[in-house]
Amino acid sequence: MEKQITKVTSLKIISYYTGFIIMIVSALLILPLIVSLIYQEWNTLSDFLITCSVSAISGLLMMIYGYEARQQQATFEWKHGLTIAALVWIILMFLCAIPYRLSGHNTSMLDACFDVMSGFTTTGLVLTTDIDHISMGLNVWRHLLTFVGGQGMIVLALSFLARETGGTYKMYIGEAKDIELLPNVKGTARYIWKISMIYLFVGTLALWIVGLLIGLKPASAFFHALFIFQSSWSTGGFAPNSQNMLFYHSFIYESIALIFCILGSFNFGLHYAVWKGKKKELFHNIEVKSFLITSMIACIIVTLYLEKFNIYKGAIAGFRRIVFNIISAHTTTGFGNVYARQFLYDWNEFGIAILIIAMMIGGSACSTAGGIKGLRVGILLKGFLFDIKKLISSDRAIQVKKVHHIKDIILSDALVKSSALITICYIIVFILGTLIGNALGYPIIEAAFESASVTGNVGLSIGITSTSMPSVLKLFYIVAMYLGRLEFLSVFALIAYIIGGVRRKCFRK
Amino acid sequence: MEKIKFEIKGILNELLFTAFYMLLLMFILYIIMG
Repeated sequence: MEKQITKVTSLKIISYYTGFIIMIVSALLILPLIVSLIYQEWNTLSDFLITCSVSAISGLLMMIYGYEARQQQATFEWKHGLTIAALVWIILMFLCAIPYRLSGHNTSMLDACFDVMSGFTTTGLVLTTDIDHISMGLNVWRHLLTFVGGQGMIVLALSFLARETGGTYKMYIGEAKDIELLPNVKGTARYIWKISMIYLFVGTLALWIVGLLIGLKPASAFFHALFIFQSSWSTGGFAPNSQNMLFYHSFIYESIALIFCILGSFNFGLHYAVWKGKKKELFHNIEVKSFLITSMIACIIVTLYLEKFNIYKGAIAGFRRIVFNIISAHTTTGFGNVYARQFLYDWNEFGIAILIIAMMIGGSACSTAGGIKGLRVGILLKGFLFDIKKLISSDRAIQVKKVHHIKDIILSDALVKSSALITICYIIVFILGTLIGNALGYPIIEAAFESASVTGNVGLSIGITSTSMPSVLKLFYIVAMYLGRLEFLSVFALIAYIIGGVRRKCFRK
Repeated sequence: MEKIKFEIKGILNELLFTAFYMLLLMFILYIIMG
């Protein structure tokens, strides 16, 4: 009897908070609606009105169903927080895909869901056809999704909470954010948005000015600046045109975008510390050091390798092609200023292998970036070196090793173990993606490149991602992007919750 | 006011740090590629 009550309440808790988050994210639809109205895009306007209605009704029904749990102030457990985090992303994928599908630019619902998951997870791979002619409203929606996805949908919803409950922290952790900027989660969520919105203003202004200087019309320059900033900061990689960054033909435009890609890939805790006056954190933080070292080594190796073939002439050309693409891969942005097949023909397999490693490492934890994360790479490397040092040292005294990440953290076995577990999960998904791609007829190096790109939420493509690729691969890539973004834990909790529910239903006496 | 001053300084520090890193990369490329 007791078990029955717990089960019903769990479902209601999950239903209430999932509905609440859906309602908040659905409210964002007002922005593309207004833009469609201003640009008199009536078809797009009706697409968004339909989506808005469906989302609001879905969210409201879920909240009504779960209201009892709210009224009774049911105990919010870890499994609820993690399950909500994983579930919200799936439901929102379907809801947010409606305007994509209705626009006619996505030939199937699967393609539309692929693009939404790509946006949410800040991957940046695109199956939308004829991007150069999509409506302004849909363009606003595409880039808004990637911007919100970068910060996190739950982080957005928590910012609007009137009253904080014990469950908010558990949902926040479920979305792979684990930094506490302020003593309460609501305050932390709001500060994350404050950082992003201030940079949105600074970045859009800078790109707008450069856009005007390179000959774009004022309104066009503004929207291009807004979209490119949103993609840079959220390390998404979307652009409002099919040529991506090639469209602008501007060294300065690319450089400014690159600066915001790097800043977006930094931990929100680091931004907070620097904004509070601790500027030395930029030089001592293990993630920053890890990123600077690995990205610099990658740039030097690829430059030395490509120099043999004399493909790019001079430092400026080299910077625009080599550094831009490596930083874009490393920060998991996925902006490209070379054509997809050029990676294969110009960079050869060696260059591609370096890009794969950079994509897998990714940006910082608790940032908008994906990948294994610099923090874990740093912890694993330091843990490995520490173990070797202990082995060869004659000193048997207990040694304590620390890593600096906002504050000093003791390098415990548990910390190394948890980092190793997530890293192994990433590598398993990467290998699976490579094998599936290869089994479907793609060369192994191309399958590996695309697999690293989806698992690390990067968005660079070597040419596999297209509307004509097999549906199985599209489906796997959606799952890989989702797993990579939520860092496995919440998805495992959701699977365990579903299996537990099915078992109770099937084996109940 | 003091809080805003700190935040503006923080933003400038971050922008300068990133720009300096890119200049460093550019310098390395200049040495390698000329």
